[in-house]
Amino acid sequence: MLSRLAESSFWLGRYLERAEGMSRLLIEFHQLLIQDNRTHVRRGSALISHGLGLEGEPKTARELVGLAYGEPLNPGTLLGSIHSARSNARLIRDILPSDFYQAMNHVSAATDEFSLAAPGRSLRVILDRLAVVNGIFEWLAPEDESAHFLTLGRSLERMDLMSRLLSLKLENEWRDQGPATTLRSVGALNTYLRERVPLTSNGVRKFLVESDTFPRSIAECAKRADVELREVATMTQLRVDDILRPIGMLESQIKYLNDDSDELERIISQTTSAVAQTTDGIGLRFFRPVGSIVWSN
Amino acid sequence: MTHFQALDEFLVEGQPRELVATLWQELTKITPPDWISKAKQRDLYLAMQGITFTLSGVERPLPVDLVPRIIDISEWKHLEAGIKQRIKALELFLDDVYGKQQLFADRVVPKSLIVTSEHFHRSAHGISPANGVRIHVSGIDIVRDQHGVLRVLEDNLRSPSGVSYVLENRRTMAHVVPELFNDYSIRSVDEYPERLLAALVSAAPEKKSHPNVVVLTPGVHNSAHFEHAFLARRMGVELVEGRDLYCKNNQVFMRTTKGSEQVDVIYRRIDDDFLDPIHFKPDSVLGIPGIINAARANNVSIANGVGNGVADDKALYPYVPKLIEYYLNETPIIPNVDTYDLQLPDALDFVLSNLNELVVKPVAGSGGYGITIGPRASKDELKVVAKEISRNPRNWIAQPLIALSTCPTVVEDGTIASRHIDFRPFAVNDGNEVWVLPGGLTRVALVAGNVVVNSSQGGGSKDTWVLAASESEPQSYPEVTSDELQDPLDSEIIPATAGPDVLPITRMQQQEEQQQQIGAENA
Repeated sequence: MLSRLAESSFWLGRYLERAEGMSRLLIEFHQLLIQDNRTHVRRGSALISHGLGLEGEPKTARELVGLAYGEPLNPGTLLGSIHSARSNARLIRDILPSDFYQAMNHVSAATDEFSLAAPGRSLRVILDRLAVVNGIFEWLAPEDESAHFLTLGRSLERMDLMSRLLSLKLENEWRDQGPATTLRSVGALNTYLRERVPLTSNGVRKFLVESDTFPRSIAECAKRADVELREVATMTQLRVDDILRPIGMLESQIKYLNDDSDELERIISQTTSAVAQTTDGIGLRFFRPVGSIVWSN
Repeated sequence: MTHFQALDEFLVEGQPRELVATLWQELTKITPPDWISKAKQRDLYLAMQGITFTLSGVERPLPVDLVPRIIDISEWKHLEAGIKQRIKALELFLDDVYGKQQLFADRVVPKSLIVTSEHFHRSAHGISPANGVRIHVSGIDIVRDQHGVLRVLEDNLRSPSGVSYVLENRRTMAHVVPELFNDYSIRSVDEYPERLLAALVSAAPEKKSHPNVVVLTPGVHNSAHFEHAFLARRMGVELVEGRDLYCKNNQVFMRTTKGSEQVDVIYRRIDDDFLDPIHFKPDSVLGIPGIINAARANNVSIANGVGNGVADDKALYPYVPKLIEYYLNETPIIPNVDTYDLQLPDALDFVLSNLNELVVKPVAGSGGYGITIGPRASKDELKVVAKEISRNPRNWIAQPLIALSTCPTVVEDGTIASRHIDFRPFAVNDGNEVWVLPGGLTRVALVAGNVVVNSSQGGGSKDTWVLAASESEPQSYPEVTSDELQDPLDSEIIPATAGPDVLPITRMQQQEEQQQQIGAENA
């Protein structure tokens, strides 16, 4: 397939996942911060915005949501990731099921009605509509190269979001609610509880890194990214071993992880860089950068 | 109409109390059309989330009023201490009643009162719970009278329901009216399922590291089925019906796809009468034959304990202050509502001749059914009640009419009006301590002037905010020093940015050509 289309598929996957992940995170952070007008809300907001790589110093839950909701031109924000996802979907519209693009537009339309005064509800609408997009993709998209790039992007983004979430160490700031909020922020509370493991900070961190039952754990996403990239390699007949190296190393570290919490923290912090290196590798090999393009009109 | 002026939780002569001043300011900014639109958003949210209550077979959202109720720190401490005290005394009482029965020898409570209670079960005699707890979960109903005094209206020690709405109400409020939270620090209610699970685990017969805990529900038609499913989900345990369980060799098993799995702790939301057809109703299809014997053999723990109803029997209620003195040698922290024990001839005569001014309740009733409010009843109704009471005084209690306090509430036309409320805080006993959930279910009678707040009588609920301690007096939060506040990004919470293995948290990656694509779109 065209490199350009492959690139758009990959980033469509990443931005869709980012929009979903951030919506979920924001619902939970807002819930956490809103009940608590103590000074550490300011600290918590600053911590969270820093963790999400946002620039600004929010002092209240509302300001934090405002900052993370962001603007269309900043793909590190929720609005920016939705906008970017739609831009990419538009570029590959012809190879996507028509329902997919329509559903994507519904997501975009939801942002027009976003209310900072009651963000929980608006975020829930965005999540619901994103679920439709993902559902249509699962049902209707052909298993071609584009689909593998999209899933690859999605898996890498999940790893990145997870490592950012875990780096926040919410339980340090909110001792009682931290572990449950961390799980809820990725929709893992129920799965975790069913493992019958006590809800402790370390238990939660380990689970989100190594679980083989929760599809968003770093281990599962790394496995998925590995599989998808190998599929792409088979289809394109290009080598990917070198690109896979950071992810492969992460996978083996997780596989042989014991109770050493320092090792766990190392894995968490290495995940972000492994994702960045892999993304760079994929870009160089498959997306054929053409240098800067000047748009004449 | 009530005889005397009820106290309002928010307003004194039309002016807001200091505690609610900020909230009141926010509330009054919202216009009736806005309230109506917010109410629609709330109903939609509740319906979409499936947060429902089954009333007369119809599933409907439990109406949550959008005006919260606030409890300040000192009042909460008082309530918390009073509830803990009450639960401790009632635990000792149950242990005594189903054990040595010393209280009868000491003539604290007439034996006849206990053994005639329909909730006194001989089959529970001699069952000794593994960690000594019978009241794992309780809901003590509290009201504020016209003088501002908080009083216990009744104890619920069997299967008090409503806690799921406490948790969901908070989330609903944050979705629909986040602006009301401005400037308040509220204690979280979210840890309830963890506390409950911990209490159930510690109630297991043997000290297993992972005892098998289940929630036993009568099934999907039960009015509180949402709550049963909610608790099972939030604790990560199985929600079972009677037909999923069976007993063999005095052990309880669950039928699973992998075969039989032994069950160690059953948090049952089924009444005693339906629990075991061998000991109770022989035609019950909701229960598990043999479960009582399994509990007696200490192979399974049943929470709450079998036979607890004898302690929340309305006829025992007047004696609870005496029980607190007898077992704990303490004065009750939260007083009762004055109650006439109709088994005493003088009290019976007084009540029969003053029925038009009193409230009479059947001792076996719950959910607000069967209550006669004297001042509002017709002469014929009073006659019928008088006849019933004379026939069997043991089945009734009488209390003076209390003007339950009121709280501003959004009514149908979008205006704010006063409605009567009560309060049900929930307590969990894990054997080491009685923990009281900082919050609770404030129930509100949505009909003007109505004092029966039960959800089965069309009542609604309110989110209840227990305020967190001030910053100088942290409760469960780690203390934040001003040094730490000056540079929030330089604290130990953020992974160190130095070191070979740790990378600083960076901005999210983005597609390099993305800006150009957007530029192209805009061109």
